[in-house]
Amino acid sequence: MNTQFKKGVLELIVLLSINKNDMYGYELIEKVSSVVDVNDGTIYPLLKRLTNEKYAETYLLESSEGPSRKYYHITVLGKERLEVLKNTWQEFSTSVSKFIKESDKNE
Amino acid sequence: MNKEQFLKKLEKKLEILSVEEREDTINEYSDIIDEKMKHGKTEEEAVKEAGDINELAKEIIAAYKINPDYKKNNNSFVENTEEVIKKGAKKISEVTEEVVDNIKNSEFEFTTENVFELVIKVILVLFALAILKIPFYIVEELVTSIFEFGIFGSITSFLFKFVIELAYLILCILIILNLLKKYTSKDKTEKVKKETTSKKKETSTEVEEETQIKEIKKNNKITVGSILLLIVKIFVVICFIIPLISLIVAFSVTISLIIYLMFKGIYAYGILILIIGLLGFCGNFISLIVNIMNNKKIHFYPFIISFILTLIGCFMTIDYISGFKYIDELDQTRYNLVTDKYEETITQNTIIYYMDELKIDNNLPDNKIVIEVTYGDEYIDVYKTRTDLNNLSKIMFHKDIDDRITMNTNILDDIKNKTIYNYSLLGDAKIVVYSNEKTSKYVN
Repeated sequence: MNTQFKKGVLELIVLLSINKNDMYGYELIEKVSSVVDVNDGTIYPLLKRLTNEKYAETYLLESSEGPSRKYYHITVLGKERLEVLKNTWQEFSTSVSKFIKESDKNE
Repeated sequence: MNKEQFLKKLEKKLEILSVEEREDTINEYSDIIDEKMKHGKTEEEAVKEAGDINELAKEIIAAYKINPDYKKNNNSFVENTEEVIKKGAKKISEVTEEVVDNIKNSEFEFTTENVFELVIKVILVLFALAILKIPFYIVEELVTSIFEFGIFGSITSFLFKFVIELAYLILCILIILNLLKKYTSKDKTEKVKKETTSKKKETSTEVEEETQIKEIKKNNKITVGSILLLIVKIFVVICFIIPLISLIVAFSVTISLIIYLMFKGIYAYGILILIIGLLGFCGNFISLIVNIMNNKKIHFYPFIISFILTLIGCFMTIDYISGFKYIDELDQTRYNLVTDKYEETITQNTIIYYMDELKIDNNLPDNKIVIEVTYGDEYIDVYKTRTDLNNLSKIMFHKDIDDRITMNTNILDDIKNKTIYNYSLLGDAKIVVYSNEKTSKYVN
């Protein structure tokens, strides 16, 4: 699958995931990889960026299975961003689909 | 690659981040890899899923809005010198531009007072720069006198002189440019201050004005004075630090010599500690000077440590040396002394250079003398020349130092046994002349 497509929607997918539940690093990577096939080399830096830009915040939670995990939680700012991204995606995908339909028609 | 290697590599590439951020990232990544392994992946696979480590590091750094292409010390030598040259050129052009701008904008009034002030300052600066030349000159002369032999010698000394002159020139240019910059920008601050004072004139008191004028005058003095101070600093550095460094080199060589002797069985601990103490002293002096120049705190305890070491070393050395015996002759059994015998016929007054002893042996026929020359043939060669003039004969013995001199293990053994013999006798040739009574009158 095209890397450019993947990178574009990655932020959207990550924010969607933590919007539903707080997740920790591994969890998030698995979740996002299930939607879009990217390696952690792409996801993890994105997590860092989202945290630095205050769209997400992190906290540590003790875990029964071992060391404490770092959980990612979406902020208010992040929720706003999520809305923007969702709308952008909708517009984008609608207009592209429309254009494909038109091009197919004229073949 | 296993997890350890991966994390170590990643840590290195994240050098530019702060300690907390780096640790945080590494810890989290470690957790992620552990988690993956828990869920059935092998270590190899888990690490592979991270992707290219360079890309990963780059992206992580970019997330902190830092330019990921900034690499410390990873540039090659050529790139680094390129950068330095570019920076240097940029700096010089910036400074010159500033100076030109400042001159254009300055409100320098050509009153007699101002002009004279300026002239005096210029003379002072030129004088200071001339004084600055002195240490450069000394270094130049020292080095050229050391290297002045042969073709290569003159080429190297020429190159060295050239480099020193160039360095001095660049230093002068930088100083002058900086001076100009400070001087002319001070005019700028004066102007700004004048503007603010004129604006505040309605509300400010006269006291404020006075303090501002005093401030301006103070700034004035700083420019020339601080440059003179800088020159004094450079002077001190060159006059003190270079000799100290040469002392350090000399001491280090001595220390390695002593260690070499230790391998040969001579344990001169006292001298070693003494020299280490002195070495410490030199190092301390240098750091003291550096600290004074940078206005950092001066610590005295390193001096105390070196002093104690030197003192201990002194005592141990005296103790060691006092254990030595001195015997004013040569132990004939171990130092190869050979005796050459020469038979000479003499008919007139003869001078023998340099006869140590004349022994009478009446068994010898008239006009015959025997000369015995005793010397250590490992160290010198002795050969004879004879010239017969009309009324005087000269027999001369010449000493040639053997080029194959090696450190005689005998001497080392002597030092081990703490006995010193009169080694000058090794280079000596003892000349004994035998003749009968009649002939002895001719011999001198």
